[in-house]
Amino acid sequence: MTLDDERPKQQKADEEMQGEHLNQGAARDALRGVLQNKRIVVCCGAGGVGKTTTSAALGVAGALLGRKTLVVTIDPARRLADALGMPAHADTPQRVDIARLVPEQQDIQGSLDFWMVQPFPIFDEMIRTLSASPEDAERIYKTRIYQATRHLVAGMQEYMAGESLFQFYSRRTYDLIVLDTPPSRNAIDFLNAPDQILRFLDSRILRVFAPSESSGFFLNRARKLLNSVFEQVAGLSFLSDTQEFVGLMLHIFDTLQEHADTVRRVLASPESSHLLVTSPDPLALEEALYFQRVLLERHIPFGGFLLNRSLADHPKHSFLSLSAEKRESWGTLPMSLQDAFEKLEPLAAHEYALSEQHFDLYHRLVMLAGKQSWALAAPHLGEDIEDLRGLFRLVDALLPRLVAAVA
Amino acid sequence: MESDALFANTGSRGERPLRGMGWNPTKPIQPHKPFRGWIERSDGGRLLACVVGCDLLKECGSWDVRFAAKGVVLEKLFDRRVIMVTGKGGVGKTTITAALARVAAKQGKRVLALDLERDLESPSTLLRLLGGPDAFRKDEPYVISPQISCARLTPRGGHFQFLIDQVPFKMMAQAAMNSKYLTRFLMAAPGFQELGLIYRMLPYIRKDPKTGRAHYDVVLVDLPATGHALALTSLPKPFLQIFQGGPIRAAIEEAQHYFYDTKVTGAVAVTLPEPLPVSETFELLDGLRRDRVPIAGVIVNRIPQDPFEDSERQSLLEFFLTHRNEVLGEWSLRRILRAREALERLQQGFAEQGRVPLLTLEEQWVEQPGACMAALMQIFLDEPWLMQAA
Repeated sequence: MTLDDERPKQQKADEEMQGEHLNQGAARDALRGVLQNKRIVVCCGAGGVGKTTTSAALGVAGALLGRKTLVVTIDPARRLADALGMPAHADTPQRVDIARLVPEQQDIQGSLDFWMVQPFPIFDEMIRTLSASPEDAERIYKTRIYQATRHLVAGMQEYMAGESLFQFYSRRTYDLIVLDTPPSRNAIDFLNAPDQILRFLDSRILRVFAPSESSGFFLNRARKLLNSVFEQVAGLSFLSDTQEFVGLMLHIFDTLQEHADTVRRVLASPESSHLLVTSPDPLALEEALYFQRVLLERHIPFGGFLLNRSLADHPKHSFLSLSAEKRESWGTLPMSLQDAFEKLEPLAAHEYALSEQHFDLYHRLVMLAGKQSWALAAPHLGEDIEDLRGLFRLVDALLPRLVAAVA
Repeated sequence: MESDALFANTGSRGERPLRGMGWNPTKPIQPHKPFRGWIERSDGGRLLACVVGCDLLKECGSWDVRFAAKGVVLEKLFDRRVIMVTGKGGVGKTTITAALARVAAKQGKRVLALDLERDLESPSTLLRLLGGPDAFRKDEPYVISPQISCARLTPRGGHFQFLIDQVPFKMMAQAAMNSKYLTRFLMAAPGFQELGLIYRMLPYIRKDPKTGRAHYDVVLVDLPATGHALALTSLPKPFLQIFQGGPIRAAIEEAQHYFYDTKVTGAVAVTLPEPLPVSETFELLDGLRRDRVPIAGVIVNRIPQDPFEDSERQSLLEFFLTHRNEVLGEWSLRRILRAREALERLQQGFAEQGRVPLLTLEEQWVEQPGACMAALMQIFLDEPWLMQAA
């Protein structure tokens, strides 16, 4: 028995007549509130659900709501950057010209910047600005570890995304930062990253690698153990390289740790909101349940669920139940079209069944969201979003009437 | 170009020693036949499914990528020992990995499927799809049948394995792993998780030095999505710079030895016939070439069924332009058009970048749970690219 069946027949029919049968007014107000009031909105979700596109659309909405907005993405969706007219490898955020799609009479107070995280510009700048002296910075640039790290992708993005978030947050250049999290199998992975970084940057751990200086008994023991292990497995050059690098970076690591700590505190504060972007996948419900529970346990502010690319709001008229009048209203159809309709029928039936499933899933998400949070279904716009116009259509579907008319 | 390497020596291939029931140079490969079959999604419910179809290829024009039909010799996927499956998030990597594992097992191979994970907290979908207990929480192979095993590999498992191999006593390794300092460093230092995973894979890939035989005939690796997969394959370069000597360097070099060898390793990129996944596939293939990982092929999953003639698609499109939101079916039609465009882009890209074996799986609507994995296997068993030639 689906939730769909439990609703009174008349109510269902009424809603369907209005074309808007999901009744999402309250959820829309809640999302609008999030975009108007929060400083950081984090889009979480498993890989392939459309996080990057959703983040970009929320950014557009934020700008239309009058906020200076930045969308930070870690996903290498170059095509989206291309579509927005953005260079994919810019060292700094780039302005998106949203005004060209907004009618002239609509005055836009906000703005939209877009940035794909480039770990190395941030890393370099961090060293430049945080080193004790320019000479120290030069010495760091010359170390073998630094040189190798420049080619390292693994792990660096997560670190530098955190650091750049700190920079943008603390400089207050933006009212709203929409953060697109890296693709992962599990929506929770991203939430674990700051803790892991913090534990790593714990200076007590890094000091173990630093050139020796007088310190406590336990630290010395740990250092001895590490030294013997690393000497055996990595060769002496690794240890001396690491010691040189860590020695020069120790002060920077301390600052980095403070920054990471700030980021973690801000993400857990009411200034932030975490949204779960999900696709109409059978596993979506399980994932949503898990995500909600973990956020609750860790006291991380949860906004709501965004059911992406669903047919939940699909028109309910069935292809199969075409009335005779309807057919007549089309006049005489050419022969080729009649054949085509015959072939289309099973596909339309499939479409109908899918929309029923998505509708059911949507209502389960609404139940799960309860009164504290919300669930909003973004329609399947029938195509991948490939340009700014597409993003505007998605914004219009999420928050109607935000933009007077899409040009 | 690694993919070109597949074809470079076509003429001399007969001279290569053939293993077991490998390719028989005297037997021509049969032209491709249309197939029908199903695959179910991981929860086993009444869901979307996929079918291999030749019809679509035929309609899409001259698919020279589909070289089997043109008499070009196909490099058999399972002639390789290590098959790495990757692609954009949500395209069906794990399901394809599981089906490939079952097919290889059916062909008489000893198969190991590897699930690369951060930790063992959440259940393993791969293990579930292969018929094992998904909550198995040990970092060691779980024997599902005499033919198939599945292991969940973690960075921590790799780090521990490394210490066991390097320090004289297991107790010492255990003590080191219990050290808060060391484990924090290993889990958070950039690249060290990936390094652990690579190290953990090695024992399953290397051959026994005494017998010269590998433990498993085929090792299928369910890699993470594009970005993280490439983070893994691009790891050796910076790490060889950092580690000038010692066993870590040796392990990375050993991994490179296997992963760069077209006879040992092949990457399979799974994608969907949609614009963004296709774009990402090209980025993925570029990245794999840059990192010198041989590309074994591309599998396009969930291609919508297309029953229409060209003229019918055109007239339906015109109809929907004037009759918006009157009847259902427009969404389906647009999806078909999008899929055709995506396939054409793939074809064009392959023409420019070098040919890659391509397998297309058509979507089907199935009512019956349970029958699907077997049906997908049937498709794969008929597929010359995957088949062991008789």
